[in-house]
Amino acid sequence: MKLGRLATDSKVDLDMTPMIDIVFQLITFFMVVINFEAGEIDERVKLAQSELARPPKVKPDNELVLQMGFQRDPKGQVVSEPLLFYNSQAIPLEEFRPLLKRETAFYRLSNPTGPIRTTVVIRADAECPAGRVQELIRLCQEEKYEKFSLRAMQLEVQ
Amino acid sequence: MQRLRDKSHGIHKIPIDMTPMIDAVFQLIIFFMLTLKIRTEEGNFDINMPIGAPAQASSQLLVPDIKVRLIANRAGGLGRLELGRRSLGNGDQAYATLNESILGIVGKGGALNKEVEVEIDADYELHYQEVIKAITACTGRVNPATKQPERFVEKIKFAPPRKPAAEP
Repeated sequence: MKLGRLATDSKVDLDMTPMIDIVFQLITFFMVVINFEAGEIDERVKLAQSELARPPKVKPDNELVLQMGFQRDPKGQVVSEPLLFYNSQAIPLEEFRPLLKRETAFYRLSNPTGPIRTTVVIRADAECPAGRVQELIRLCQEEKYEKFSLRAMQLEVQ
Repeated sequence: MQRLRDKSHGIHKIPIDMTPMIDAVFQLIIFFMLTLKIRTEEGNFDINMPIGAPAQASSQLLVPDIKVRLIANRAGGLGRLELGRRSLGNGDQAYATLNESILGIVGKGGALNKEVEVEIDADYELHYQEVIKAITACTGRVNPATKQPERFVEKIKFAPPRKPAAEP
């Protein structure tokens, strides 16, 4: 049996163009889907669920997001009183008033007169005592905030 | 790919090496994959609560507030749900009954929708999840055919919180 001479030193050129196309498709997908506003969401706050909760159709011009939750151990057990997660810190509600005043003062720099049109968005953990959430609302009302949004996770209806 | 005309050897193609471009593109993909967070959509319940605002007497329909009382058990869950003076029990059935009762009071799409106000009086230690369930039950329901929410109460307010007395 005669074997043909094997070709030597032959290179196989791979055309990488389709691979680049696929990779660009992936990049485009991620760029469209990514939401950098996720920085406002603290993963420690496990929101309550509601089938009526819907994302707002029109986002308010000014929002102040207040997040109330618990410190949890690695097993997920609550190890603290309800705290406000604000500017990467965990602050008891009793110590929050000066920070809220600072937010109000900042708002007043651009709106010195008139009612405060900022919407206070409250993201509270499902296990937070209702009274603490009401105290937070009361605190904001005393600083002349009038609009509130209670944030809940959307529950899909079967 | 450009072609150079070489008089002695004919046309040559200039190969462009795409490997560094693929490297850069993969770096971008890894960045986006690490920063992407897939999470459930969140929604809002909007409440208007000006402090000290007097009750609006603009309505010709003098509608008393609907009072919903949420009583907590020792664990912070719902012990009992009351609509006015009527006890509705506890659990998901209580909220379903509350939803039906309020729909029966205000009707769907009626003139009362904009006028009636529901006051939620929850125990201090009650879990916030139960308050959200009560608000959900009071404000509307999801249409099973269209899967869209239908609201029949637009005004919600909270009774002042009553902090429990410190245990001796």
